[in-house]
Amino acid sequence: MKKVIKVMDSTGDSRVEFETDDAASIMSKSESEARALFDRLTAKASAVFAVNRGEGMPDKRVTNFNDLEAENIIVPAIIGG
Amino acid sequence: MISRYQSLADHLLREIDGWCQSWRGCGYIEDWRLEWGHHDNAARLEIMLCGGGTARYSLSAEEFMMDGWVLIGHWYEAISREIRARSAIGRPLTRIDREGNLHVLPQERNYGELEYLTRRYADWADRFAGYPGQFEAASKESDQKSRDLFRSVAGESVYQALDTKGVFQPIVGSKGTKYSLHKRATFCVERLKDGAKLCAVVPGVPLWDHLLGIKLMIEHDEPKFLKTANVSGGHPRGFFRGMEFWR
Repeated sequence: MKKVIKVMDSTGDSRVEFETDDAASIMSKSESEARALFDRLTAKASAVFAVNRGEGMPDKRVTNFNDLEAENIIVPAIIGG
Repeated sequence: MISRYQSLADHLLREIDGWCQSWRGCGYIEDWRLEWGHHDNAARLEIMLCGGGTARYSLSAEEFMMDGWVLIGHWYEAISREIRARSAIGRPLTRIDREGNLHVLPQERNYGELEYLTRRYADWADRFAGYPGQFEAASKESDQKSRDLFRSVAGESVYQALDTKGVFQPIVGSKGTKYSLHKRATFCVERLKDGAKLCAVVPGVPLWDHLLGIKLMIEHDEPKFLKTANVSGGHPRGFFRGMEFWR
């Protein structure tokens, strides 16, 4: 399944695309890179949301890499303004 | 060609120049460079701090048009607090440091501890130093990208209502509280039950990413948002009950 992570940044967003294959026992390079990015940013308190899930399903907060869906957004940790 | 923002630019630069002179008089900064970018209509300020290091800020005419002098006030407070905190590291606090800290006391849990406040704001300044572009004007491409992302996630009608019609959008928090989202950089959220304005920011991103990030956070993790956001104004619910009574 093809997935994309959009990381909000000063350029608008940076996109990381990767493919997951549940049947494969070894992670692809793009998937392992995406997992590393996910782990690094969530460790810094960034929040991850699965969006545009189709069929009228609402957006969802994601805390586990395996729960990522086709389109995901990473929001940097919010701070008091 | 004279920019249509020329008079605004003159006014803003004069104002900011006045702040810088005052900061230098207090011993916070050594020097500064201030200019107006005509290609993106933004004021750029580079400050050389007394303790070494520089801090850069920018404020676009577009942001100013959105929030006017209220934004300038927040901008001044943010910069002022940051350079005070950064220059305070390794030297005793001045009277102005202490007065500045007093302004934030009512919002602080450990408000009796001046040392705690100093530590907190030194840390705050360090974190912001990593995001000098918080108020930076987004380039056209990044602005467009953030608009597209907002549109695709929140929907075209929400985007149009916020952008062109200028009306706020209702949001329901994960705990059921009702809020309204406004198109502005600071205090973009208002709580309906008491009219309180809440301000939390997604650092270092264009305006529409910031609005989307805040919207998603409220809808999915309201307690975290409330813990982070600064709150301004608001009235107790009993106030309205009283009004009803007197009518």
